[in-house]
Amino acid sequence: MAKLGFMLTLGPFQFENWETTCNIAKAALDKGHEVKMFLYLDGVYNPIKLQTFPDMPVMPKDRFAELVAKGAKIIACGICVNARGLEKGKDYIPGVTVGGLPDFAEIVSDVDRLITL
Amino acid sequence: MGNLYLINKEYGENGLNLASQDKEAIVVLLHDGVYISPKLYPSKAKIYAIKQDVEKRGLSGKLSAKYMVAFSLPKHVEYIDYYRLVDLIAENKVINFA
Amino acid sequence: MAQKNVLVMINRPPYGSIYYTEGLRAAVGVTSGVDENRVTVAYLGDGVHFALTGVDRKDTDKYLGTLKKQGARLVVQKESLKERGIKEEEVGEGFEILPIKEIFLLLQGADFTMDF
Repeated sequence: MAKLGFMLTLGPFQFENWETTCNIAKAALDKGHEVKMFLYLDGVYNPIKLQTFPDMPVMPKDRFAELVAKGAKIIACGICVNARGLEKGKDYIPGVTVGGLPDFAEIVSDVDRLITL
Repeated sequence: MGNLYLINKEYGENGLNLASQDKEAIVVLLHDGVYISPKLYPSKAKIYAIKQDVEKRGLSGKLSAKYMVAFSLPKHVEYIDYYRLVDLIAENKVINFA
Repeated sequence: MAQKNVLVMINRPPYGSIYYTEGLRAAVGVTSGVDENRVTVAYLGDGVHFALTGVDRKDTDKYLGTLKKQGARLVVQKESLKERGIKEEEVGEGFEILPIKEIFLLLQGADFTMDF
């Protein structure tokens, strides 16, 4: 089994990258691979628990919660979080932590593959 | 282990140019990557696209073998799901252009 | 855990989006762990505009300085310059101009790639 690292730089709703990231990560977890994810730039908007949008049956944050429940480790870039007024991720879904680029460096050292979306 | 090029539209051409240097390139078209002109596909590469990305854009027939023939390209695009993509990721080095 | 060799590919030009500078911040970040990962930065396609001598680098100088200290290479795709009518003498100091064949070799030698 492999360890897959992800870096996501785009937010929810506006571009498809978050969805592709969740789809790949979910398929990887289902197959028994390990997933470590770093949310960078607008990527840090994805796991906010307050999301609502009646046109969508499943909120992006719920897809990320599903990954956490399947064992994914998800870290958001703290500089990016605070730059966007997200106050250390106080409104994040459980299981997503706030860290920094050294955490990403550690992910890079640790994983077998790196996917940036 | 070969190189797996993950290609989106915005600057996917840069990735396809590198894949053209690569004797064993494997290309996967992700989301709007399926809109890239087949004329830019590397001639020797194996080309995949994510089935649901192709279908929801109404392009299923457009990327078919017949369409490739219209461009005088001797290959077709194979549609895969995310499970197959994960296998390709596990088997190859990922070259990110998505 | 092991040291990795990462090729950071910057495809977007300055300044319309933040990637030209955040890509460099991430490149520096990659090297910040205990394993001291190595990076090379490659400018491809429209990304090559960043290498022009006249580009304002106030917000990127610190990252470029750190990368230089670490001996990281900054390479610019020769064909992309030509396609955009940029002469090689218009490329700033510290950038190496390489044909795609050689950029492909850097890709072959890298463990991971990142795109911005």
